[in-house]
Amino acid sequence: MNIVNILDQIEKVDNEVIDKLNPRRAAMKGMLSFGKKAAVAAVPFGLGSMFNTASAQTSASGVVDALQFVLALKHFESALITQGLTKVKYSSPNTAGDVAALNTIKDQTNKHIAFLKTAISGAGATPVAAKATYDFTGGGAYSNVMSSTITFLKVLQGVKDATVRAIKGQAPALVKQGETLAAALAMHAVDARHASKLRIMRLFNGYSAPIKPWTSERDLTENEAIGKDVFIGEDATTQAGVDTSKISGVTHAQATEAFDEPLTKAQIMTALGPFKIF
Amino acid sequence: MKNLQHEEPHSLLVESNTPKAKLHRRSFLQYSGAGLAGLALVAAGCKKNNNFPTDPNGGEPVDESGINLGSGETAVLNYAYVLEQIEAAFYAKVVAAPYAGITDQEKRFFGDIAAHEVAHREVFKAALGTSAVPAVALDFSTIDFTKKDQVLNAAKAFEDLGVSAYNGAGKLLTSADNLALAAKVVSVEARHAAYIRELLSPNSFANAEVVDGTNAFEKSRTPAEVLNIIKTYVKNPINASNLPTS
Repeated sequence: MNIVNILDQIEKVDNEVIDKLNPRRAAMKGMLSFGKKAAVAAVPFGLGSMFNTASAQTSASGVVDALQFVLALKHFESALITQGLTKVKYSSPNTAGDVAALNTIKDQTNKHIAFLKTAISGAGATPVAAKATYDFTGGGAYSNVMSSTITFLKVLQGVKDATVRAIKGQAPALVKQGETLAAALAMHAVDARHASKLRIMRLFNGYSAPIKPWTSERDLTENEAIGKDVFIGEDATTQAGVDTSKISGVTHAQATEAFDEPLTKAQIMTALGPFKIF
Repeated sequence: MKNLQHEEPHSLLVESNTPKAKLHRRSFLQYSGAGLAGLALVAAGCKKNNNFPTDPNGGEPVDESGINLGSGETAVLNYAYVLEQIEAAFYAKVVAAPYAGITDQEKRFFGDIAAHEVAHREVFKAALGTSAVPAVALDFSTIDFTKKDQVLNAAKAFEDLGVSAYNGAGKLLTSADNLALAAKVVSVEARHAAYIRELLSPNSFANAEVVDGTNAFEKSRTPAEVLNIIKTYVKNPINASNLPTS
């Protein structure tokens, strides 16, 4: 067994392995000097932890879990928009334009679903299926979600904002995951565009005078939001150790808006629990 | 602004695959990074530049000497810091002298966006500490700030560029904390982009210019592509030769 050959083989699978080995150079040196027999026995075990799918930050199953979680959310989003477009007699000051926007959001969400299913299958797992039924009323809190344009937009916007937060919460687990991370970020930005557009629709239609195209501390305390759990933490002003509300020219509200905050999977499951998504 | 509009965004991605683009990049690297003398000059420029205060209003050029982004994680954060400097300075000008016919709501929202970009800039600066590059020298003379369409088109281009830049840089980061920070910023830029796009043209919030038709993914740009675009506005030659590429 030749360690150079082993490294060559691994490099074919994971071309970042040499970079990953660098911090371990000292350890490797020690290992090699310890004796050929010991080294050969230890190397395959040691190298196992250097693969992309098994690096310190995450595991192969961790990556798949993250994708499944996002897929479950997107199944719900898609069902919510599809049902809404069918059942809500959508009527706003800009009905035709709004419906076109909702169709764009639905189509792009469905493309994300198709991508996620392919990616999860490709990893050897079975993609989580859409549920046959969801509770679009959120446990009755939004009982007219399928009959009121105003409520429907309110709920959909909250769910989209939650999806942005959910993907953001998964991003650190995908650090150094190359194309998987790139795909997650690519969906994340599109979801943020969707959430912003839904906020703008509510604003321009006159359904919420104080709402902004971006999340703000006001989302936590005012009734237009779908629930404070969806926006919990969006009043944060400390970023990388800097209190952004203390920066000259930045108000407290603006400080809370400048950075979108992540939510963990558990927080999302609490916030969106009444919709019976998971 | 002409440059951004002409290259934005489809043609740019295509162009980067052509020999012409490769040549540009090569000559750019040669210009900004080649030789010990060049590096020494860049380093000297950085040091000297540290004495110039960041102009929060994005005022007149401070120092046009070369800027080296550094290497590794620092380089990626400096790259973000430069982008935020551009955006903050651009919106500071919009707010200081709004375009003709601006509505109260637009004035408020541009005020918000301007403040968000200042917060981004200052957080990256603080995160970088002594590794932060100096304030860059900016030139927005191609934009007529009195004209609504020019300001909105420039804002759209800067926001879309920012989103694509962060999305392209995410995989270059090795620290989960830095990735989390970038992810907190990029979605806010995407929200800005959607708002400005809606002001320009209803329902353009996620159109084919920025979202691909197959997977509905936001398009991303490499740092080389982004730096090639921003050189219209940033007067300092930027040495990105030690920026991670994968």
